[in-house]
Amino acid sequence: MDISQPLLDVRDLRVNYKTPDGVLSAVDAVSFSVAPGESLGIVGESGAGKSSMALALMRVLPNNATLKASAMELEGLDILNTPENTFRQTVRWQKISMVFQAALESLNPVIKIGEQVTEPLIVHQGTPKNVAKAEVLRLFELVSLPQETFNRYPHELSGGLKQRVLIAMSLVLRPRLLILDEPTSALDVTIQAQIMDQLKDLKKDLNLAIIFVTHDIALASDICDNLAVMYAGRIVETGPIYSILKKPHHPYTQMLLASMPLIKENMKPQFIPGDPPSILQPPKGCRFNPRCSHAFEKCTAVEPLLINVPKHGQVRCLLYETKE
Amino acid sequence: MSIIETSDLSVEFKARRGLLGSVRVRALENVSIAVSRGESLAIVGESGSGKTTLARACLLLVKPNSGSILFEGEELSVTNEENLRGFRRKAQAIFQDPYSSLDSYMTIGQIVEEPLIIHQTNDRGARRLAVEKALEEVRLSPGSDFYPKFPHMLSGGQRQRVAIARALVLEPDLIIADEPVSMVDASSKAEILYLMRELQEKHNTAFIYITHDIATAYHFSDRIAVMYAGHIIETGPTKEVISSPLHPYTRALVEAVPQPDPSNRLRKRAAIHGEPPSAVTPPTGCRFHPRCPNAFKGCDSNNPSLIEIKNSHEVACHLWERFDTEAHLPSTTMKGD
Repeated sequence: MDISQPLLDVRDLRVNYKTPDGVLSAVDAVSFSVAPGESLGIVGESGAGKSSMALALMRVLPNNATLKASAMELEGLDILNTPENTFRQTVRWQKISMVFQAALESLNPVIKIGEQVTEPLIVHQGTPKNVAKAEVLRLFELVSLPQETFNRYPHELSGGLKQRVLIAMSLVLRPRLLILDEPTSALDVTIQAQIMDQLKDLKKDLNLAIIFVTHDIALASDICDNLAVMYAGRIVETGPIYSILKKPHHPYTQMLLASMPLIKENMKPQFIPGDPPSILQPPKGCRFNPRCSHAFEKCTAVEPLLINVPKHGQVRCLLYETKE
Repeated sequence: MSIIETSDLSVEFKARRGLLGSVRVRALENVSIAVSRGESLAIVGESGSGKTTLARACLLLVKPNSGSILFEGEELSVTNEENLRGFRRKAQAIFQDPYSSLDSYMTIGQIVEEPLIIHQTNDRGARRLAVEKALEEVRLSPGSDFYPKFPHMLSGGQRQRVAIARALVLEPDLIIADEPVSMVDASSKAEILYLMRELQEKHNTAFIYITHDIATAYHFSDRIAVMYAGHIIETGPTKEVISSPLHPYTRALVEAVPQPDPSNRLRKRAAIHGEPPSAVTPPTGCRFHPRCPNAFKGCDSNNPSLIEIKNSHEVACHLWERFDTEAHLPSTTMKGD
């Protein structure tokens, strides 16, 4: 692996939400790093904490949330403790940007697309209008949007085109890291395939680092170099996508892969019995133990640590601890 | 005999255009399907393809403009509403969103019991037994535990099982499920689908599974009908259609299903360009021709109709028409012209 400085380095990230029923720990001591031009997939079911994690990186969590970490560094600079003003002026949208989940309807319906996309350039960087327009038209070409989109209103565009507008918008200040939160889950499969192809091109052409948040491990394999599988607020397995898909170690990753309905192969999809746990009262010991077919006595008492597996990655499971 | 059979079913909607004007939207055009007892038919298509309209028309929730619906041999579209009580008991629906399809002020027991009250099962004890049996059947057991609970106390997967129990409690002959697992977590989807399959086989019910997900249709249906812009463009035995798709659109749909393979990121998908057409101004000729990689002269003027290629595998595509009467079959690697 590359020994150069990572673009983003996060240690022990925690996100807690204060709710009427108590404190809910959505993201629990999550650590990862992303190198320049690398793409990391964050995979998990609803409630795994993947979206909270993405929002935490942008520092746009709701008011009832608290964000803690022992380190959160972008290009070696602390982005956790920088004052909000500095963060807004120099980091958010400029260094890290994001395409939010289900954001297709977040475009302002009464402002033309072009105005909405050029706005950050004009406001943030004081770029003259005509220069900003040229820059945005260049971006439109990059994401395969027809030039006339510039003068359209959001309601005139289909879902696929709107998603391309949002991607163009997130790239307008030339960020180094792009966070995509379920960017295709509201789109039809043929449009999803188009957008994924587009993202592959962008990643290559712009040497863009990507954090790709999804519930669909198959879709993650389309673009991600590395994968982190989350369950109930914790990373349970992480490593290069090749090792994780070829030889998943954690029982949850194994079962998640087996639950994908494969086409062309006659292997019937499996399912994980039971439901994702309540994050308010996570199960004792390993959080996956109530649904795990390999669970043994110790699993209900001791929460496993994320341990290194040589030539694979890291896995949080007692099955591998005993073998060390 | 088919439980339900539609022929040349068309549905039009009026959509508002501006302040006063309105336009006709053809949601469904000349659609014919048939489902027998114990059989499951998957209807696959993207948004706007008309799959939900077809489901709603089969349940008589929208009135077809033309065509006929035979239910157990009886014509439905001419029957008046009063005579439909029997049909409404025998045909049940499962909807997409288990969060909004269950009344949050009713207990699980009341939700599952309601159809029995509507259809006049007057014996309170018999109703209670039927409800608990239905809950046990969908593995919400013991049924008496779930009876007094409210929907918010259940997970998404459990709620969808309540919706299935509600459909089952009247022992219907036909169940139409519209995207029943699209809001259920990935790891639980297969569980719900296995359950529906098992119950369908056990009760010998006819089953229509509406979905955008061709991969789940592959594993959980006997026959499949692929829809595009209000038309069925390919139909046949599921395994056969998906392993050797004849229509360029079906082929693209199959190709677009993401498969977990780390080498995916090194290559591009063969994505078809463009977007599904508007239902207000659909393209002339074959509805798919503007996006079709195999389109040739004539595709833009005539709309192809379904022709049988082999063992009830039918396709509506001009590429296949010339082979209609010939004994040999073209290879499945299709060439344009």
